[in-house]
Amino acid sequence: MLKFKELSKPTQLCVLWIGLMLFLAVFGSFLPFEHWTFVYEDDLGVTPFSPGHILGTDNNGYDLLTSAIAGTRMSIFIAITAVGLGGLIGSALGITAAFVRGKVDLVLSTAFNVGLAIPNLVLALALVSVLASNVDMTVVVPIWRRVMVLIISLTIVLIPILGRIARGATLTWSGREFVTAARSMGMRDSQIIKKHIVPNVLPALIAVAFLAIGVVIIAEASLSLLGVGIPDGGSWGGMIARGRNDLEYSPHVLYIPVIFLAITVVSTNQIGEVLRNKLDGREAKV
Amino acid sequence: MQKLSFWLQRVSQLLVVLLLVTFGVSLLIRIIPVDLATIVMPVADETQRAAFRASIGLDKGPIGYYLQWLGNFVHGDLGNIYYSGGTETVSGHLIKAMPRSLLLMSYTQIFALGVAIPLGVLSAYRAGRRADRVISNTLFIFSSIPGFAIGLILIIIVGTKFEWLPTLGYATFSEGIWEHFKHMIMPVLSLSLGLIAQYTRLLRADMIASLREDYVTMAMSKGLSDRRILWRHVFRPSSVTLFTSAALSMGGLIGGAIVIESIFATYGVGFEIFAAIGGRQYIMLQSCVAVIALFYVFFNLVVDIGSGFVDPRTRDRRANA
Amino acid sequence: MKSIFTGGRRKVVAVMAIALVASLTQVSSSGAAGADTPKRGGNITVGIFDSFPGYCMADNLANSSLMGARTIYETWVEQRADGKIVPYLLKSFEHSADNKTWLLTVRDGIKFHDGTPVDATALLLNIQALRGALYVNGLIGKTPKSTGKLGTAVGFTANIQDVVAIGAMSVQVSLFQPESDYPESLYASGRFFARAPSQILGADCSTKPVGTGAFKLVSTELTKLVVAANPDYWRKDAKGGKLPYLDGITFTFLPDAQPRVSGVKSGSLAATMFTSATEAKQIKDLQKNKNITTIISPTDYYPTIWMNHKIAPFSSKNARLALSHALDREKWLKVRQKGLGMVPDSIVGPNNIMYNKKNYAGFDLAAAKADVAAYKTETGKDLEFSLPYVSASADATANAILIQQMCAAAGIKVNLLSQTTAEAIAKAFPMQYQMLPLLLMEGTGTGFILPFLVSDMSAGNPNHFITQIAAKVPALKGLPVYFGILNISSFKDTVSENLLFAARGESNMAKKKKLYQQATAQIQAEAHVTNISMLAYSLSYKNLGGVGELPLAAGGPRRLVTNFGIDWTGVWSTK
Repeated sequence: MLKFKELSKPTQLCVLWIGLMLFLAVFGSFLPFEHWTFVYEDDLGVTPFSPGHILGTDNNGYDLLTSAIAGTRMSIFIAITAVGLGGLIGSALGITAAFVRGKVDLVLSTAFNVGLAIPNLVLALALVSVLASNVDMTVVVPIWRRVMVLIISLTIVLIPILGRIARGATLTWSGREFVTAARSMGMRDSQIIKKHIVPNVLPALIAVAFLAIGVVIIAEASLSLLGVGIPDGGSWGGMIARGRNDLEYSPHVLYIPVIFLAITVVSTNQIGEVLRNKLDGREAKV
Repeated sequence: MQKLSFWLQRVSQLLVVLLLVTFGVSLLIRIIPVDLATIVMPVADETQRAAFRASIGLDKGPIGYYLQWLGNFVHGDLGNIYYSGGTETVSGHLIKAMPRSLLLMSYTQIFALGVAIPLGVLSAYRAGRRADRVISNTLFIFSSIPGFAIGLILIIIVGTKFEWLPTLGYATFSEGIWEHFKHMIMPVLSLSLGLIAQYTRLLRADMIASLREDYVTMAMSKGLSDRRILWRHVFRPSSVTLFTSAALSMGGLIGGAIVIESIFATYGVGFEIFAAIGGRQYIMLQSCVAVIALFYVFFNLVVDIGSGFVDPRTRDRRANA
Repeated sequence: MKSIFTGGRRKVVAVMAIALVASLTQVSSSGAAGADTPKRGGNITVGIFDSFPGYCMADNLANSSLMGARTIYETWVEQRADGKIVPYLLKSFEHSADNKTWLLTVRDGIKFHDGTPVDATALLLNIQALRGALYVNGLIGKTPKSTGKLGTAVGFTANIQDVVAIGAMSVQVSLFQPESDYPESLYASGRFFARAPSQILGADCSTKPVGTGAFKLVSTELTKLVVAANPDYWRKDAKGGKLPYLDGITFTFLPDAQPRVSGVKSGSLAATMFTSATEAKQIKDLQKNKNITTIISPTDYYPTIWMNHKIAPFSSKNARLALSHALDREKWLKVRQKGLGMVPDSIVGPNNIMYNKKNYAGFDLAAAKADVAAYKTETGKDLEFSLPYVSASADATANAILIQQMCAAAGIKVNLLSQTTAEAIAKAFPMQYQMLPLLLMEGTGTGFILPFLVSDMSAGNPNHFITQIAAKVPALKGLPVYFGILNISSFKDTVSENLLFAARGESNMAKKKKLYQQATAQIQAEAHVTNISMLAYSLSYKNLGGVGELPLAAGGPRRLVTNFGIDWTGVWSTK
């Protein structure tokens, strides 16, 4: 496996950043801060590095550091869960489709195409809007239920994307000579998948999965900007939505969540890339 | 003969996708646990709602409802938008919104591909060297900034600070070509920066893989020029992934530019869908999604034709499948 | 039921957000003053935050979209800058000694856009359409087919017993109860305008507005209204020149604040409106901008927290008092409104005739805690309620969170009820929430306040034609409910109602004011409704001249900016 010390400096920084984000996501709520919605009524919209507010506050009087930490928890949780679920289900389905072919492939590919025929954001919007509707509109829906709805919607959106990529990659490789050779030597299908398909398909999938984390984080932010994200706005997207209207006079309110989001996406991309290069190296040995 | 059956199969596959998508959306709308008429017409009285239910076939089962909707859809009746003052037809909205979205999408694709292809080829050719590192790192960062953030920053700088470009709305060609493009520059830039990164990355990765292929080594050993190898033997097969990805994002761009459309008030199809969801106009949503799916199917056919042309291996493989 | 909140997402966002603003009209001195001489021609685009649901009697245009409609339409009477109602399309209004009969006379020589004259027939038809009498045949039929055409106007006109034409140019209105300020009801805060008979009787009433205004309809859709100058407009400028100056205006619906801010800064929009409910930050920012003029309306808009008396917990007075005492209005003003405005100390603002501080349950944490304890003793339950808010707006969300925190400090548990605009509309009329912060009341008089504070605007009069029809046709039994539907707290307080009706009939201004104030004190003592802020609207513009300079037809300045913005008749583009 990869050793931390062997990584390049930028990659090390990316790993550290993701580590920090994961730490904040898990332990952020134990840090000795007020809840992120605490209103500092004497510090409205102060700029970063103000006393008491290292990242400043927004015009609601929310401290941006605590908001960002709370947002990290929500955004990272949603992204990892959705990509994890979507990646597992999608790649399993994609590899199966491409390898088994025939009717299974037909059904699965059609299912992927059905999912892909609707733009991601539209599908996510529609799913959230339908899944979040409840019979009695005067009954309060707990936030965790809305979070689950978001995750399920984003997972459903990811499955065909990742599935199709897995299928495509598998198709490319399963047509190759060494697979034909393995088959002619009487190797079992499961063996071929394990030995020849997965190692070759994985690089592409992992790179895409890391990209997908970024995509999901941005998708969640888009949903928040469109007003169908986490209802209390406790995610990076929620922060961006709050910052958007303050853009022209308190731009830091927008920049801070965007910077958090961007560094995280850069980091996941970078790590994905490094992993892929490492796995690509294995290909040479095949 | 084999070719014909391949195309017949593809077209029927896509038709099935189209039917399934529309049926899926129609089912999705039917599973909403609240009376659809109450949602769509919150301020109407019971008589109007009953008439509405009958008119769109809500009184029939899910299949009957779907068939009635499909019948109307095929005849160009995409349903209505209901608000307290009356109704507007969905088709009327889409006729206005569709050209905007199509143009926005085309400009975005042309710009993104126009930038990404040279960048991708260059960085694959110079893989690991300085040019590659600069391109990759810059694009890495750009791809991580969401389009809407880029759009908002452009608005501050280009729009309100220097007043170079209008920040809002859409101009038709009849209002002037330059006027039209002035309104398009910022939305296109916001949408395409992420795509450029995505395309360059895809092309680079694919080309690097292709460069390792035996036939490339062979071509090299034959003493073919770098340029020829790069474009003919490496770019051509590698571009399949690129163009597939580009075509796939076409459908997404038609309806998926929702956030950018709302920031710049371009009011294309994405905004109509957002308005449909926000106003809970589910009949409109169903028809809009169907129209987008139609485009998706169209672009898929284009991809099939295109990729079959570019990489014979894919075509053969598919034909055999 | 048509609500007056069908104006699109922003309206309800604004409305549910609650807020306030400057107590006086402020004109920023740093504005780019246009040249003094009017310039003719030019088309401009104006950004608004409400959509256009339609133009028929039951379609209620809200705030900034009302501004668009009022380029096509004019009202029979107008409000002067000092708040007094004066004739506009009317030449005069006179009343009998008992204030029960009003004679309205139309100004000569005015024509609708379709060429038909504005006369007694047109005025009569307009009033009959508003009060629902025009649809009487539909109502008598077996199904209540036309009930959809009964708008909130029915509540506003419920006091009318009969209307008849007297001669070619006059109409006589007979009222059930005396009403010394009837023209206010005829104004309905700028909403009861003159529609051409062809529009009222036509099939396209909602989509083909025909009025008398300086501009004519070019096209309209939910998100956009395009109007062009009316070449035959009846008014002239000070030098006798033709009005309007502009060739045309496009009103564009932009629900989010950011596109409107950048639009007016970049010049994509010539002007745009804001509401201080959620956009105080933007208003303050634009006030500082040297290139842009920002004018703010008086703080005459009273967002109210409507507490549903029909269900727990606000069926209990202790609960209502607890909520009212728990709201820290000073903190609200500082945090949510950036100090733009004032702390409310009555359910209406100081400019209103009903303004009275007596019994108002202002912020008092100790009292709130005592009320919560009293509620617990009374019901055995902890005080808890759901606060509906439009989660699509980040600012409305922050507003809701702040109310939640204020209540928590007093020991009240608030559950945030995330809603879409459509859900909010569906559930507000009739009221199905426990409570709802919603902007309904406005103005200096009571024309746009009374219908929201009484349980029956016809005062239970059995002679009202709607009551009589409903008595005959069982299917229409619910119809009289229209007289009280605007009171979304669903409270009935005979003490305050008697005071309000008595005040409305009183001619003596001092006595009238006293009666109104007593009614306010009674409503505040029972905490039937409460509030957290007062609201204002603003208009920001660049490269425009003549804003607010054209006097009213009867002389005297118009209110410069209101919730429906400005009058565009005398405005020109300096670009």
